[in-house]
Formats: sequence, C-alpha cells, structure tokens
Amino acid sequence: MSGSVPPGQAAEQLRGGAVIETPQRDGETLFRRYVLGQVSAEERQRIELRLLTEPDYLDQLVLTEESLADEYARGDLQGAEKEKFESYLPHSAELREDVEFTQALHSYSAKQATPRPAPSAPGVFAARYRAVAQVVLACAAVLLAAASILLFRESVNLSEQVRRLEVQNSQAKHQAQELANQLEQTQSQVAKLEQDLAKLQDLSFPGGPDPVSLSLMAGVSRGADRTATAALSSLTKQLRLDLMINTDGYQSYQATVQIVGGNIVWSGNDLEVHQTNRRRKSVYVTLPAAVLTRGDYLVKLQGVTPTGTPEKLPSYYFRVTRK
Amino acid sequence: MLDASAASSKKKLTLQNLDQLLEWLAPDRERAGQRYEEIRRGLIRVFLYRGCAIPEELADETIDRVAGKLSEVGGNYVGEPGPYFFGVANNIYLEYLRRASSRPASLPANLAEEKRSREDTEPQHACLEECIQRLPQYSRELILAYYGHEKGGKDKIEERKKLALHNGIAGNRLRQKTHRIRVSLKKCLGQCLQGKQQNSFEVAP
Repeated sequence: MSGSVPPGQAAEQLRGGAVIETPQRDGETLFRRYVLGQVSAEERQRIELRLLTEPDYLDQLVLTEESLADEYARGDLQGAEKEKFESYLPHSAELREDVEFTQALHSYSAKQATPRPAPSAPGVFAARYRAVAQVVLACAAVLLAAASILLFRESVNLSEQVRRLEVQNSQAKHQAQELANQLEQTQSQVAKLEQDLAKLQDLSFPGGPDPVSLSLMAGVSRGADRTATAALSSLTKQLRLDLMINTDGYQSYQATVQIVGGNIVWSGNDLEVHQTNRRRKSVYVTLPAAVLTRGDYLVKLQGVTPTGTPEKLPSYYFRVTRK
Repeated sequence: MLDASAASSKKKLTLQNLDQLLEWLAPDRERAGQRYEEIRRGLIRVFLYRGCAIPEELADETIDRVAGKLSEVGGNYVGEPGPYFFGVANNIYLEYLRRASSRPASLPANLAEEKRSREDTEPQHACLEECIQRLPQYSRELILAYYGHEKGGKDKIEERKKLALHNGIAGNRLRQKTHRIRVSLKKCLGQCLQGKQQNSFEVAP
C-alpha cells in the first residue's frame, strides 16, 4: 500500500506543533464519504490501511467524525446520511460522546445570549496579532522618520557641496581668465622684447653674432702708430666700422671702402647717424669679412644734403690682419 | 502507556505475548504503548465503518491474534506492523460475517432529538460551564464562537470561514484547534461528572 498523501492534502500542525499531512477539501470529503459508507472497496482498503499505519491520518478522521457529530447534533444531516451516521452510534461510545458533547456545547453556547458575532470574539489570539501589528507599525514609522531625517540631512549636505563646487568652479574660471590675460600680456611683452632685441641686433650687429668692430677717427693717417687694426679670424663674419663724425645736418651718408692704392671692396648708401653718447655721433658701416684681406684700407665718407647732393668728408684708415 | 480499555484486551494476552508485542511495535516502551493505542483506535474504526456491531471486541481480538502469532512471524516479518494488523483484521472480519451474531443491532432512536431528563442534563451543563470557565480566554471564546451560531448548513460553513479568517488561520487549522479544546473539555467534563477530584480537576487549553 502506498503511504502517499491524498490529493489536496497539505502540511499543517496538530498536537502542539507536530507537522502532519492534513486532508484539505478533497481529503475531508473522502473521510466523510468513508464514514458515510460512500467509498469504493478500493478506496476503503486504502483508507483502512493508512488508519493503521499513520497516526496523523487517524487524527484527521477524528476531526471528520467531530464535524459529522456537529452536523448531526444540529440536525444538518438528513436522509441516508443521517441514517448511516445513526447506525454507528449504538456501537461506538466515542461517537456517542461526541454527539452528546456537541449538543451540550451548543446548548451552553445558546445560553450565552450575549451577542457574539462569529468573528467578533476578539480573543487573545487576535488581540495579540493586533498588538504585534501595532508594534510593527510603530517601528516602521520610527524607521521611516529616521530615514526621512537622514535623507533630509544628506540632501542638505549635498546642496551645500554643490554650492561650494559652483563657487569653486566660478573662482577657477575667473583665475583661468586672469591667467589667460596675463599670458596674453606676457606673450605681448615677449613679442615686443623680441622686436626690440631684433632691432638692437640689427642696429648693433647686423652682420652676425661675432662682429669685430673698430672705432675710427677721421683723418688719422695709415702710417701712424695709432692706426686702428682689426684682427680677423676665419670665424669672423663681419667687421663693423664706427666712423666718428664731427658734423651733422646731412640727410644721409654714403661710404666706400677700398684697399689703399687698390680697388673698392665695398660701398653703401643711406647710412644713418647714430648718437653713441652725449658728445659723439657715428656712422656705422658693416663690412663682410670675406671681402677683407690682410692689408690697409681707406674709407671715404660723403654726406648727402637734403637736396641730394653728396659732399666729401674726411677719410678714415684701418688695417686688417688675419689670425 | 495502555489505558483501561486496552487493559481489557489483555485478558487473552499473556504477559509474555504483550511484552513481545510492545517490543515489536517500538523499541521504546512508552512509544510502544502509544502505538498500541493508535492501532487499536484504527482497528475500531475499521470494524465500525464496515458495519460491525462489536468493533471494540473485534479490534481486541485482532490484537490478541497478532500477539499470539508473534512468536511465529515476529522475527520474519519485515516492515510496519500496521499492514500485518490489517491482514489479520480482514480475517477477523470475514469470521465475524460468518457468525450469525454479526448482524448489526437495531438502530436507536434519533439521539440528536432525544430529550434527556432535566436530572440527566443539569449536572452535565454545570460541569461543562465550570470546565469552559477554566479554559484560557482565547480558547473559551474560540470554542463558543465555533459552536455558538445557531444556524446550520451553508450559514454555519460561512460563519466558520469568517471565524478562521478573523483568527488568521486556515479552516482546517481552526478545526484542529477546536478539536484540541474539545479534547481538553471532554477530559475535564469526564472528571467533573465522575465526581472525582471535584475541586482539583484541570483543563488544558
């Protein structure tokens, strides 16, 4: 025989906590049919075997017997069912007791005339549930309130942080703008300085980084010991001649450089006068070193008047040596 | 432990057979006694609902026969004792049917409508009231609500569904709870009616 549970049964508790398999609607109906003699032979055999092997199964039959005793006592059992149930009563003291006890309970309950709506007997059980529910609700409310406060505080903190970040962002933008302006100014200054430097370089050393210069006074003869001498090396690119002048008033100057007693090696026009100090003025002549060989040279200077007429000025002498 | 009804069945049992039977039912003596009662209650139902007029006697006869056979089969039988009892009960039932005395007794009058004399019912009601008052409040209110409504049929079913719902339990669980309360009340009522320990009987929830 199978020990399986009939369809519709589920686990429930009986006898103070023991979990048993209890018949629900189908199982209960089966027991009812069994007691009232409405089952097949096979069903009867299965039920009887389980009654002898499963104590909990027997407990469920007892519940059905109580239900039938209740129905019988109320007069709910009619016809064949009533007759069948009654047929057991002479032979079962337990069923008789069930019926009598149920009758007594009904009778007693009827005496308790106080209105007692079936579910309205509040009971400790229900009251306990309500109390537990109230505690749970109270706890939930407290937790909710605490959560709200925390959320509010968190929200305020976040707002403050956002405000601070916005201020910092604004300050950073402002600083970036200032730095951009400073950079622009610096770049502008650097550009100007570079221009000035370029001008100065043009003015001072138009020929390159390593000019050799000579300051020449007009009229000093080549034979004198004071003849200015430029010692040029193979690395020298240019020689600058500082032709000191005592007169001014010319619009520009023209100069030619020639080997003494030889050819002109260089000539230049539109030469300007530079104020080298408070007392002295000079005309600068920059010569490529390549055109100068060792020897004595003569520089002829002419002043160009505002009308464009050149006028002869005193000549200059210098000597070139090679290292 | 065995109760008085079980003791009657021991008339035909020798002490040795009983010991052997209990040992076969369970190694633990107390559990064995409990199992004995469960099987006996089951056997009574089997015979009762087969229409036998003497279910308790047949149940005891079945137990006696099983106990008597134990020396033969006890060592060889494998499995639950229940099916073996069932097999023996079937034989007892067939023998019962063969006996002319197996005819059920005539049906009694409708016990539900039977009017008892005031002398019979008054002590019962007094004891019942006392026992009900001794119940814990919840059990008292539950049992009165369960049996309190006067209507039957579908109304009764609906009322009990509402009661189960109100208590937050399933209908079957409600029946189990009221069953336990009934068992306690019946025990209390029996003690009260017998006049034993009139002032000291107890009722459990």
